[in-house]
Parts: sequence; structure tokens; C-alpha cells
Amino acid sequence: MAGGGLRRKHHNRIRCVQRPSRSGDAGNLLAPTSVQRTGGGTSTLTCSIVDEGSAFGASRRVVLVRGNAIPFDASRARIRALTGVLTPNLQRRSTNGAQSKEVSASIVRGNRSLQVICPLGDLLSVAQLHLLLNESRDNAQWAPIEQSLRAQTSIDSGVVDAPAQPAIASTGFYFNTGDCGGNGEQLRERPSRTDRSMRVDRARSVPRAMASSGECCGPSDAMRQAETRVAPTASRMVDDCDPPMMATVTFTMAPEYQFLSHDTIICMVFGKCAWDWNASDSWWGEPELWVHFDGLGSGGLFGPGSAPPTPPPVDPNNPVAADTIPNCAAANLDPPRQAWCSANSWPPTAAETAQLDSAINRMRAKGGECAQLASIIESLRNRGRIRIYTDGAHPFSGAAPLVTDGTGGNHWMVLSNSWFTTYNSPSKATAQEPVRRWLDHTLAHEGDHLSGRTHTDSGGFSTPNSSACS
Amino acid sequence: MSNKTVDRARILRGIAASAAALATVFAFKVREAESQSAPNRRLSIEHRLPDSLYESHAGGRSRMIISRSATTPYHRELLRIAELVLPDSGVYTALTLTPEWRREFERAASGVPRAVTFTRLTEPRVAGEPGERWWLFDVDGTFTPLALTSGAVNYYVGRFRDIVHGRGQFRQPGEDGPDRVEFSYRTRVVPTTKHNAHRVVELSLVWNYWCSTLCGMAFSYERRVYFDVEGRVVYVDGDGPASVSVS
Repeated sequence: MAGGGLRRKHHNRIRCVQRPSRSGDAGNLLAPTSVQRTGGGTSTLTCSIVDEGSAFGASRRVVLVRGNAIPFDASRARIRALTGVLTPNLQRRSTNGAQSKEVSASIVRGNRSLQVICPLGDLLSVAQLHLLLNESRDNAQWAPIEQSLRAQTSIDSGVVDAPAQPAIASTGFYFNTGDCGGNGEQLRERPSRTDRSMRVDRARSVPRAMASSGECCGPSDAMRQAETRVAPTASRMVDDCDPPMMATVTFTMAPEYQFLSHDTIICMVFGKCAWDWNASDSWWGEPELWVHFDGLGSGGLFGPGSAPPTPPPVDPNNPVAADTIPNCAAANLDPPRQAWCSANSWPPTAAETAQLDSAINRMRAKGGECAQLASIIESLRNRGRIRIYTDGAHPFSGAAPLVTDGTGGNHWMVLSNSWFTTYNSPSKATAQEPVRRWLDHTLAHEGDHLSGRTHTDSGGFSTPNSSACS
Repeated sequence: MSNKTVDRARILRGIAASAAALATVFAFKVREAESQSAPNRRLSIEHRLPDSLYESHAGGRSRMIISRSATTPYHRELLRIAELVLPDSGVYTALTLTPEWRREFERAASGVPRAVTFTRLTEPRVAGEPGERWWLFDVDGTFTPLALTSGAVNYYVGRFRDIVHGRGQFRQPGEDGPDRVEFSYRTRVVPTTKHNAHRVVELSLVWNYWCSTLCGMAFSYERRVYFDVEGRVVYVDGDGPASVSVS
């Protein structure tokens, strides 16, 4: 297993502490309340965004800002290109697990100052880190983050008039949470500790007013008390702790950390425990990088309930009048629905419609189940429920919902235009793969899905009627 | 055996007995708290899930992303409960299925996928225990959800690994082939006033699998579990059959 040597890193969190603990460490971000979990290592229950020794342990650095993630090209090759001498250090780190010094750089994005701190001090100078950060600007990776930052600036502007100033690279910052609950406790960095795994920095110029109670501690006192009652282990955690200040959280590698082929260092900017992988799609296509997990989360078994009831059957002669087409405004559209929403040929052209009608007629002429499929497809055609997209725009050449309630004619279908422009007759069918397909075959295939039928061969090319009805 | 050794053994047995008693009490308390958090709700067995996970296979063609975010231990607890709540019985009785699929729904209560003639020589992945049914039935060997629970996520994690390791029902053409699978699961806890609730836990899952240009299945699924200020489940939104696209 590629990730066999990985160990979990510490989980950390930003928190607002209502009351100092007896140990005197309360509020010290370097000593967050930890919960022992299975599999070794300690982790807090929050900031789960920070992966525990998963694939993020490699030379790609991920900066998270307000729910956005951005991968920088901090690959070994890139670092080597910057310095020319990094490989030995990288290898040494991978074998002895030595902690690296931190290197930090101040940058301004989206009218906000950011502090990026990474445990690359043995490998990069500040100037080189700047190079990496600036390089990312050229390929627009910052765009979604800057959007978030501007939004945050807009929010902050209601609290403080002064724009955020560039953060000052330092290790001695702390933020005072006296306004977070009114008890005046501080989250303070422990100066003597050098092997910290997390740090919160703050621009000195940010007015304390920004850390107002309303901003930092969301819910009312009553709500907070209620939550504390429900979750007694919360150690007086404050919900919605979201200090509107410049905070940089750096996660360094655990000593037992080992580099994979893609070493990643995670840096969190803003310390907000949320992320959006949509912003990191550039990870797609990277060489193999994977880990297994052996189970996280707290235990606890609860008795299963009784078996659920079964639904009543639907009268096939009187199906429920479902009327379903993709909601293009919805989030997380699956690829076929994306194809529907972005189809470039809708309604179909006259030529496409003529081809469609001919295919429907041929299918109907075969009678039996083929005629039923023809009726379903004709219903879609008459309702404008067949859309055509450019071939190659999606990993499939046709799609439809799997309809299991007998209302297939009320749904939709998308088809690649290749079935109309290239593979539009038996003589122009695809190669044997293992079956030869053309427009009629594909219509029957998708028609079968609309009738609730699934695939019948190991390649997924065929459905019960795809050959017989074409 | 010396008296000292005997005494030590007694002490150890006593400690063990005390620990067992404490564990029993703790388990009872946990169940009690659970029942208070989700009164009249059936709860599933808890499956351990990673907080965050990224897996990439075959040059990134298949990937899995899990992100279970919680900003406080309280949110963590809400998330845990949200993933345990099983669908109300009304979700099952409201299903509208053709007679064929109704029979399949009943058969699939076992959690075992349909036997398909083209199944590869691999052990089919079971969805789960019948009493914690989160699934509707399987499509081409992959179960589709009726509710997004920890059991469901656990299943899709396993199913993802089945496929990328060549244990799927379909032929795997190899690294250069067209097969690919994407699975993501994300959660978040946010304030709300809907349904007189205080917090809502939003769970979202995306499954996209393509075995060829005319073979695949995809769906997005979301669940929202609303909690009142006392941390009790007051409403569950989104349970029901997934709208599955197939190719």
C-alpha cells in the first residue's frame, strides 16, 4: 500500500474558550483538547478538514481559505527547479522524519493580507516561497480564493472601516478572545514551544473590534449553554467560532511522516474548518496517490431497528404521473444532467428530428416491447425531452434516468451528436466493441433504462432490447 | 503461588471488573443520550468514517473524496447522529415502483445485490444489515440510496475500492480503459431557522461511475437533518430514492 507508512497528523482547531481550564493551558492553541481515537495518534474532534496522514502528505501544498482549496505546484520537481539542492533534504526528511523549520511569506490577495506558513524552512527561502505563491497567480488558481477573500472583506467592512493590513511574519502573535464570550481569556501561543503543529497568527494592525462577540461566537449565550449541556465534552467550545481576523494555521508533518510520491504539505489560511474540493480540480489526473483509512471517529453501537415496511406496488396501467427533468439550478448535478443542461442542440435540428422520427418508426414497426420503447421515446421527443450534446463533451455517448415507477415517458434523455452525424445507420455503425451500435441501438438502450431495465453484458454495451429493437 | 501474587491477581480482576462495569454504564449512557437526541427515530449501527480522505487511482481517473467537517465537538456530535438516523417508515411506504421493481425492493432487503449473469468472479458487496436499510436496490451491482447514513457512506467507500481494484461487476479494461469512478461525500453543520431548528447537518454524496461510453450510473444525493437547540432531531429532509442516471 502506497500509504502504509503514513501516520495521522494532529488535528487542530480554532476555538473560543470561555473559561480557562485548571491546567492553565486553556486557550493555548498549541494544546487543544484532544480526544484519543482508534488507530493511534491524537486528534481533536474539530477541524476534521485536516487530513490525518492521508494523501496530503506530499509535495503539493494546499492552502485553504474560507472553504476553498488551492493546490500549489510544490512538487519535488518544482522545488528542485527552484533550488537545485532540495532532493537530499527531502530524502533525509522522508527517512528520519526530522521536523523542518518553518518559512512564511506575506501576500495580499483579494484585498486581504494572508500569511502562508509552511514547514519548508530547510528547503525554501522566503523568496522562493514567494516565487511559488506568485507563480500560482499566473494560472488563475487564486481566482476562487480571491473571490472568497473579497467577500470576507465585504463582511468585515461592516465591523471595521480600516482595510486589513498585510500580516507581519512572526511567531509571537496571539489573538485575544476577550470579546468572545466576555470572559477575557486568551488564546495564546506558547513561546517556548518550537515543534508546534499549529499556530494562529494575526495581523497586528487588525483592530480588536473585529473579534467582537457577535462575529466570533455566533449563537446567543442561551444557545451556547444548551449546546454545552448536550455536548458535555465540548470543553466550553463556542459554536461558530469564526474569528474574523487574519489567522494562519500551519500543519507541520508528524515526525513519523513519510513522503509519498506526491508529498503534500497542508497549510490552512484563515483556519476555517470548511473546504470545497471543487476548487482543487487540478488534482484530477495526477499520478496515483492513495491511502487507506483504518477507521476514525468515536465508537458506539446502537441496536438496529426492525426491518422497514415494503412499498405498495404500482399499477402499471395507472402509473403515478411523475414529471421529472433535471433541475439545472441544482448543485451537484451528475454528468448526464450536466449534459442535459448544457446541451448545445436543443431543440434538435430539423435533420436530427427527422432521423429521430425515422428511428422511432423503425422501432415501432418491430412490435412488442420495441413498440413500447418507441412510445416512450416518442413521448420524450414530443415533449422536447431529448437533448443532443457534442460528442466527447462527456464520458458517455448517451444517458437517461433509470425509471423504476413506469413513468419513463415523462423523463428525459441525452444523446451524443455522433449518433446523428456519424453512426446513424446500420451500415455506419460503430466497430464491434463487442456489439456494433448506431442510433437505433442507442435509442433502444436508453429506452430500456427509461423502462427500468439495466445492462446485460460485462461491457455494459447492451440492454435487454438494445439489439432486438434496432 | 505466594500471597502477594494472589493479591495482585485479585486486584487485577477487581480492576477489570470495575472497568467492565464502567464500560457498561458508559455504553448505557451513550445510548440514553442517543435516544434523547433522536427520539422515535430508528438508529443504525455506527460505521466509522474518516474525517477527510482523498484517494486517487489509475492516474487520477478514479478518485474518492470525503470531507466531514465540524467546527466544534457539538457539531461533531450532531454530525454523528445525523449519520445514524434511519429513514422513517413513511419513506418506504411512499415508494412507487413497478411490480418488478417492487419485488426487487423486497428481495434487496437482504442487502445482497442481484445475481447478474455477467458478474465477474468476485464476491458481491453487501449493502448492510436488513435492519439498518439505507438502500433501495442495486443497479448494475451498485446499490442506490434511500437515505444517507454512515452505513451508506461505508458501503460506497468499499464499492469504490472494489471497482478500482478490479472487483466490480463490469469488465475493467485496465488503466487505459474508459472505466472510472468518482465518489465524494461532504458534510457541514450550519445554523438554520427552518423547521424551528437550531442547526442543520447537511450531508451530500455524489457517485459517478462509467464503465464505457454506454455504461455507467450516476447520482447526487443530499440529506438534511435538523436539530433543535437541545440537540434533538426535529426533521429529516431528503430521504427517498435517488434519481439515478444511467448510460
